[in-house]
Amino acid sequence: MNATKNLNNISLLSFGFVAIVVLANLFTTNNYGRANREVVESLNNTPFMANYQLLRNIVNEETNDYQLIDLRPEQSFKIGYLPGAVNIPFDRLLETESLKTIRKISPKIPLLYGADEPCAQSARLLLIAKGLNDNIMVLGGNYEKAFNYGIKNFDPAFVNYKDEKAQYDFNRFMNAGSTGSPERAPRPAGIIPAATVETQSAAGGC
Amino acid sequence: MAPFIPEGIVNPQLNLFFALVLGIGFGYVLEQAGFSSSKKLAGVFYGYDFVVLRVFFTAGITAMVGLLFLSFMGWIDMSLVYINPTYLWSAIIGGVIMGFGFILGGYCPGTSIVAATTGKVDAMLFLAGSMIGMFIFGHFYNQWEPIYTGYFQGNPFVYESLGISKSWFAFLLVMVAIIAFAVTQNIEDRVNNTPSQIKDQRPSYALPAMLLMLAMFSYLFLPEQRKSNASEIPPDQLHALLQDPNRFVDVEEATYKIIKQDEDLVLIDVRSSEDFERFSLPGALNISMEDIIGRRYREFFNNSDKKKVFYSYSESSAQLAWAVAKRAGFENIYILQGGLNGMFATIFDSPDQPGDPYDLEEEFSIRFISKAKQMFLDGEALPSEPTTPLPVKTIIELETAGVSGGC
Repeated sequence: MNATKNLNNISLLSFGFVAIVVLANLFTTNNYGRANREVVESLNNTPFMANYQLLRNIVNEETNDYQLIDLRPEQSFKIGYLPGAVNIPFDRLLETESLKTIRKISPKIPLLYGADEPCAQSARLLLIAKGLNDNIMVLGGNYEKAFNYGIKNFDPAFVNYKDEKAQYDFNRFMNAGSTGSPERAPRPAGIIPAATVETQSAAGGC
Repeated sequence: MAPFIPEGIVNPQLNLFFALVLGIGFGYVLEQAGFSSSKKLAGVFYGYDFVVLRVFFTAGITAMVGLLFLSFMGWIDMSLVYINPTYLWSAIIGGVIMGFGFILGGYCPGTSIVAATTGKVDAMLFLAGSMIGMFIFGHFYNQWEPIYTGYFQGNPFVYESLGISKSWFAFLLVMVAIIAFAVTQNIEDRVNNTPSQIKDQRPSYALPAMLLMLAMFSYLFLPEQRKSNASEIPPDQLHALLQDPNRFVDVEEATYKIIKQDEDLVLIDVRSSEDFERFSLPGALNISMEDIIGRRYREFFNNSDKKKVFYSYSESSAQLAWAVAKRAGFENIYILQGGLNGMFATIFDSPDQPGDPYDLEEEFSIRFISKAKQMFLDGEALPSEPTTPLPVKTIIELETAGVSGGC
C-alpha cells in the first residue's frame, strides 16, 4: 500500500520535527520567570511604595517583617547605609548569588532603595520579571532623602516622599496661551472611535 | 516573532497582497476538495458524502495544533492575534440565514465563488442572489444596526465557558475529530453501499491519528507556556540597558523638538489619564503600560523611524514603562531625563546670565533655555490648532482591517 506508506512517513516526519523543536525549547534556559504581561499586571495592581514611617518602624525594630536592601555600589555602601540594610549593587542584581540572597530573605519582605528611585523601581521590575515573589517594596526617594527625612530628622511633612509627584503647577507655566482653557491637550479624539469602527469591519463567515 | 504584521516583520501595506495570495490558495484547496460541486456540499445533509465536515474539521484541528505549539514555543504572541468578537444575535440570525441559503442553493459564499470560477451557472446565480442580499443588508443597515452591533459578548472562548483548561479542550477536540472521521466514513459507506474491495484499497490513517493523539496527549503535560517571547530581549541585556546612560533624552533636545513641533519625536506620557488631562506636554500621547504591550499601539511602537520618549513626573514610572517596552523588543525609545519635574526645573529655575562669560557652550545653552522659557510662557510652543497625532490614525485603519475568517 503505497498511499499508506507515504502517509505514515509524512506524519512520522512532522511529528518528529515538532517533538525535536519542543524538546529543544524545553531544555534551553528559560530567561524570564514571568511574561511581560504578568509583570505589567503586577506593577499596576500591587501597591509597592513604602513610606518613611515604615522605615522608622523598621529601624526602631517595631516591625520585623522587612529586610532593607541597598542597591548602591559597594563604595557608597561602605560610607553609610540605612541600619540593617544588605548591600546588593544594582549592576550585580541578576547574578545567581544576589538572587539567592533575595530569595533567602522571605518570608520577610525585601525593601529596596538605591542612589535614586528609578534604580530601585527598575530593580523591582527585573526581580519580578525573573520570577521572584512580587511582594517586593520600594522606598520612595533615594538613600539621602530616606536617611535625612526618615531617620536623622524625621519630618512628618516628608513621610510620603516619592519622586513620582508633581513639583510644579505646570499649567501656570505652559498654559499662558490665549485660550486659557485648562484642557489644552485633550486626548486625541481618534482613539475612542477605534472600537466602534472595528465593529463595522466586514465580518466574514462562510 | 509572529503575528508578522503587528510585530512589524511584514509591512502592513502588503496586507492586500497577502490576502490575494492566501485567497488564491484557499480557493484552490476548496476546489481540490470538490467544493465546487453542490452535490458534494449537500451530501453532508443526506449522509452520502461527509467531505465538508472532514475538510473543515481538518483545517480547524491543523490550525489549532499549530497555534498551540507555536505559542508554547513563544513564536507567536496569541494576545496580538485578532479574534473576531462575538455579537450573539447577529451570529445566530446570520447563521440561520446562511443555513437556509446553503440548503436552498447548495453552496456557501466561499464555495459559490469557487464554483462560479469553474463555470457553474447555478453558482453564478447563487452569487447574484448573495449580491442582492448584501444590497438589502446595506440599504436597510440602519434598521438592523441595533441587532448587528448589539448583544456584544467580547471574545469568549469555548474552553472558558466549559470551565476546562485550554490543553484539555484541545485534546478532547482532537479526539472528537478523529472519532467523527471514523464514524462519518462508516455512515457514508453504509448509505452508498460501498463494495468491500474499494474499502480495502483505502490508505490506512491509523498511524497519523495515533501520532496526533500522542502529540495532544503530551501537550497536556507540557509546562504552561514559555514566559519569554522570541522577539523579547534577554534579562541580562535589559539589565545592562537599564544602566546605559544613552537611554535618556536630555531636556534641551526635548524642548527643542517641542518648540519646533517636530513630528519625528513623539512624547509618550505614561501617567494616569487624569494627570494627563490636567497637564501634558504639547503633542504627547497618553499610553498606559498595558497598551504598550497591547495590540492597539503595536504598529506605532514597531515603527522605529520615530524617536519615542517616555516621560512621567520623574524618571521613575517612565523608566518602568521604558523597561517594559524595551523588553518587548521595541527600538528607538528613550526616557526624558528628569521627567516633567526636571524639565521645568531646568527651564524655569535656571539663571538668565551665564556664570562664566567666556564659556560659549554654556552661553548658548542659557540663551536657548531663556528663549524656550519665553515661548512656553507665551504659549508659542503650543500647536496653533490641536491636531490629531499621526500614529493614532494609522492604528484605527489597522484595526478595521482585522482579518475575519470564514470559508
